[in-house]
Amino acid sequence: MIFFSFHKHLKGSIGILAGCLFCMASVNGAVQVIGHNPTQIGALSQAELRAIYSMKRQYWPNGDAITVVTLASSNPLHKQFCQQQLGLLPFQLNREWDRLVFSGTGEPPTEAVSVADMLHIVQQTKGAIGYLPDHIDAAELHLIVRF
Amino acid sequence: MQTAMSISRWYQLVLALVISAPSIAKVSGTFYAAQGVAYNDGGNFIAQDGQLEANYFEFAANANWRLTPRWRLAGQVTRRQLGDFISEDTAVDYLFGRYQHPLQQGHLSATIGRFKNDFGWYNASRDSLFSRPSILLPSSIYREWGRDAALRRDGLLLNGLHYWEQQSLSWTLSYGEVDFSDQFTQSLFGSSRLYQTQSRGATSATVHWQYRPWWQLKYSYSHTRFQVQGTPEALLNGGFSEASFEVDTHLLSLRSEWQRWQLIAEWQRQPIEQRFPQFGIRVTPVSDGGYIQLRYLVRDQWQLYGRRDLFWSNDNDRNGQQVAAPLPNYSAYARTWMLGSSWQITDDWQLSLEWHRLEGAGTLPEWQIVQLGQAPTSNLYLLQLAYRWSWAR
Repeated sequence: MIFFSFHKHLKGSIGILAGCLFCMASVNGAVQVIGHNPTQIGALSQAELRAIYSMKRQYWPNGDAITVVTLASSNPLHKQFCQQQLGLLPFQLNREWDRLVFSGTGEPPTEAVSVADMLHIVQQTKGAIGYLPDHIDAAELHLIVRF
Repeated sequence: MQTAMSISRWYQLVLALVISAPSIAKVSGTFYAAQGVAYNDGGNFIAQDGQLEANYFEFAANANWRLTPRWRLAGQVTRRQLGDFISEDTAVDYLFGRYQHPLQQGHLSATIGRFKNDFGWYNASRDSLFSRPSILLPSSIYREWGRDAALRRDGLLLNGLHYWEQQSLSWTLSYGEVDFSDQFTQSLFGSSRLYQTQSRGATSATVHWQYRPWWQLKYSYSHTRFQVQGTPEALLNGGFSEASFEVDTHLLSLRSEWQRWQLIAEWQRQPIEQRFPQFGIRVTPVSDGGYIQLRYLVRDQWQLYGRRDLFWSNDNDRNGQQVAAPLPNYSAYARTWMLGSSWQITDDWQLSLEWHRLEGAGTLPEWQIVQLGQAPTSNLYLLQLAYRWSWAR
C-alpha cells in the first residue's frame, strides 16, 4: 500500500516535471495563474492581478501577505504572462519593481529559476501567486486558476 | 499601574515579533554600480571642455528586512562621482522603519527615520540607471546643485494607497529636516568653507492618480526652509553673515504608455524667497521649467528616447537682460535637446548612450558658469555601463 502510494506520487511528479521541461521549450499557448490558496485568487480580475504584480496590492483579503513569484524578465513565458494576463510589457513591471527597491519601500518579487521551481515555490509558500504554461495540468495540486 | 500594563503590552508585542520573525521574515538586498565616460564640447559640466572624463561612477547598496508582513526596516548607502562637478562621499541615503496597515482595497503606512522624498516621477529612486529614464535626469526638475534640498528627509512620512477597478490613488504627507551636505553649500555659494547651511524643516505632499497603465497624473508640493551662516572669514571677504531661504515647489507630472510608446512630461514652478537681513534685502525670484520625453521600445531589450528640457531661473527675465556681471545673459535659462539609447544586455547589465545639446547655463551653479571654457552652447556625450546584483532569503 505504501509502495503503491509512493509509486503513484512518483509517477505524478515525473509527469509534472516532464510537462515543466516541455513547457520551458514551448510557450506559445496560454498562461495560467496559480496560487498557494486557489480560493484566494479564484475571482481575480486582470486589474487586480496587475495591482498584485505591480506591488500595489500586498495583502489577501484575510490579511495574509502576498508573495509574488516570477520567472526572469528575459524568460519567454514571463513576457507572455505580462502581455496576456497583465496587459503590460516586462520592462514596465521591472521599472515599478526597481522604483520600490531603490527607494526602500518594497522588495522585488521572488524569482524562480524555472517553471518547476515556480511550481515548488508556490506550493511551499503561504500567500504565493505565480503562473504556468496552460498545458500543464496543475489541477491535482490544487493550485490552478484559469483566466 | 497603567504605565506598567502599557509597558507589559509593548513587551509582549515585541516578544511576539521576535518569536514570529524567523518564520515570516524576508531579507533582500541589491548592490548597484555604474561606470560612465563623459566628453564635453563647449562646457564644463561633468567633463572639462574638450576633455574625456572617466572619473564618473555611482554606487549603491541596500538591504530591506521585512520583519512581518506589516513591519519593515530598510537602508541604503550611496556614493557618487560626476567628474569634478560632484564628489559625494559615502552617505546613508535612507534608513527607516515602516509600519503598513492593510485596507480592504489598499493600505496606509507610516515611515519614521531617513526616507527618500517622493517628489515627481524620479526623485525617490534617482540614483540608479535602472530606475530613471536616462543617464542624466532632466535638469529643469532634478537639478544636480539643489539635490540635497529635494533628495531625502529625516522625519515622518505618512502614505496611503487606494485602488478600485482600473484606477489607483496614492498620497504622501511628510515633515522632516533636510540633510544638507557640504556639496550643497559648495554648489550654491562656491565654498563650503565660508558658509554653512542648516535645515529649518521641510513639508511635502503628493497625490498620484493612475488609470490602467495608460495614464498617470501626479502633483507634488514641498515647502523647504533653510538658513545659511557666514563664517568670520566670509565677512572679511565681503560676504554675508546670515541668509534665510524659503522654497515653494509645485510640480505637475504626467505619464502615458501605449504598447511600445511612453510619454513623460513634468512642469515645475518654484518661488524662492531669499532674505539677507544684514543688507535689508528680500527677493523672491520664481523659476519655472519642465520637459517632455518620448520613449520607444524598439525590441524587448533596446530602447530609444528623446527629450526637450526647458528652464528659466526668473520668470520675469527669461532672456537674462537683468542678469548682473560677471554672469552672462545665458545663465538665466537652459534649453536642452537630448537623444539617447539604452540596451539591457542581460537582466543585470545595462548600457546607455546619450547626446545632450545644451543652450544656456541656467541649470548650472554660478561658480561653474564663470569658469573658462563655458560657452553659451555645448554638447555633452555620455556612455554608462550599469550592473546590479540582487539577493533574497
